[in-house]
Amino acid sequence: MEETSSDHHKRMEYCTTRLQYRQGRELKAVKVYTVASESRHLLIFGVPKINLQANLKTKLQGFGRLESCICITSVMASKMELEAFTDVFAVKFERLDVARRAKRMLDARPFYGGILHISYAPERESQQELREKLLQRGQEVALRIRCNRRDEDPPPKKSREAK
Amino acid sequence: MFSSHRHLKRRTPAQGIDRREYIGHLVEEFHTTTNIEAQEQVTANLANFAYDPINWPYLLEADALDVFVASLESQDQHLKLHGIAALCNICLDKSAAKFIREHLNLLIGLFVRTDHPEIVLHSLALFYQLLEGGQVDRELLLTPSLLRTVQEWRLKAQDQRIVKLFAPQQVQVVKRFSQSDLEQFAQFTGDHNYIHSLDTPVEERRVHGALLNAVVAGIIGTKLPGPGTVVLEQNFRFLKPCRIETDTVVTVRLLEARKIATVEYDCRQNDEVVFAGRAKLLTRSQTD
Repeated sequence: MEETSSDHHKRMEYCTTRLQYRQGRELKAVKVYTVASESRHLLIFGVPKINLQANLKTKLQGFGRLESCICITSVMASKMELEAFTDVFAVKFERLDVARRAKRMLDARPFYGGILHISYAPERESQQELREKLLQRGQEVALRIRCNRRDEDPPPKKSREAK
Repeated sequence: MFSSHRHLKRRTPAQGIDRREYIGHLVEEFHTTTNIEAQEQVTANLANFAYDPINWPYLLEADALDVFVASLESQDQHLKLHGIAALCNICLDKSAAKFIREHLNLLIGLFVRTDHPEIVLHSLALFYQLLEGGQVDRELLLTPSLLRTVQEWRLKAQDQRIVKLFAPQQVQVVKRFSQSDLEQFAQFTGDHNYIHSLDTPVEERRVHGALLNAVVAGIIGTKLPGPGTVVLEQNFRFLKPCRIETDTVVTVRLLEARKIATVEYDCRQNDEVVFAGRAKLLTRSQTD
């Protein structure tokens, strides 16, 4: 097995060779996501090492309830190469959709002079959290299907005649 | 991320193509291009579309499932990865699940032979969802070679994401017993012992011990190990009275996963253990 356990946190290259019809406004890497990839747990790389924990927390809380935000630079330094003078934070949101949004809005954006790199960290989930996540996927899918059906066929006008 | 129909309409430029057509173009490009990178890009695109059920009708209509299977059969690691992720995303759709069942051997073969942790990760998530949704027979999916491969990965995997995805070792349920639950149980079993009834003040009243055990048995018989399980032997102790109208966390933990499995269980109220025990269970196997 070649891949070490933190390879999936490395930032991938943006794809620049897409055909015109499928090149979006923003550059994106060629990457796939499934329920197994996403998580309420995120790792935030590239935070400048100038005591920004409180600032980061405030920024993240703007997206939704945060369960924890801890600095794990010392732990991660032994597992992978980190950008000099930056910290890594392990963050846990209460809800998956909040984590998704925070990642989308903050990834590759500037933060106090550094550029943040955010990735999901499903390896930090407990067994219980993992199971709940899989259950939630099923529920979300069912909900989306119901909503989509409703949008497509609006309910027929109620008849005035008594049944 | 999920889109709504309104959102998709808004995203389509005036002269542009809508989501249905776009997916059709991606599928067509996969089949007509000779550039492997382009194939990798479009399959990733399609796999990510498969995450949102709004795209499922378009993907099925455009025969994207054939693209995913072709990706799995290719030699290119990225294509294989995108193919398995796509199926993992779309497997909750009934017709996609049927299609997946028809190609089960291909999926099992890929899983058994791969050394790519991401492929293992998405395969496991796919298998888990198929089993949970009752979309595939346990016996058909859990072949000896697959189970052997699962064991190997469990032992040698450095990747914690994979380690966690293996068969759930613990189930927790929160239950709240009401007086009417107790009365129904008393009625059903004949246990009209006054310690469970209104004759005892509520702070001294306790839930029937057998009822606690029955809830545990319910978990054993439906979730862990699951249907078909037969209890062979049990021992348990009642450490504290279990009160009504209090959140009770019931945990069943799998200690040994063999034909004769061992589980440990407990019920907690306010972080104190009120009931605990162990059981030996006969689990349903592939040959039954």
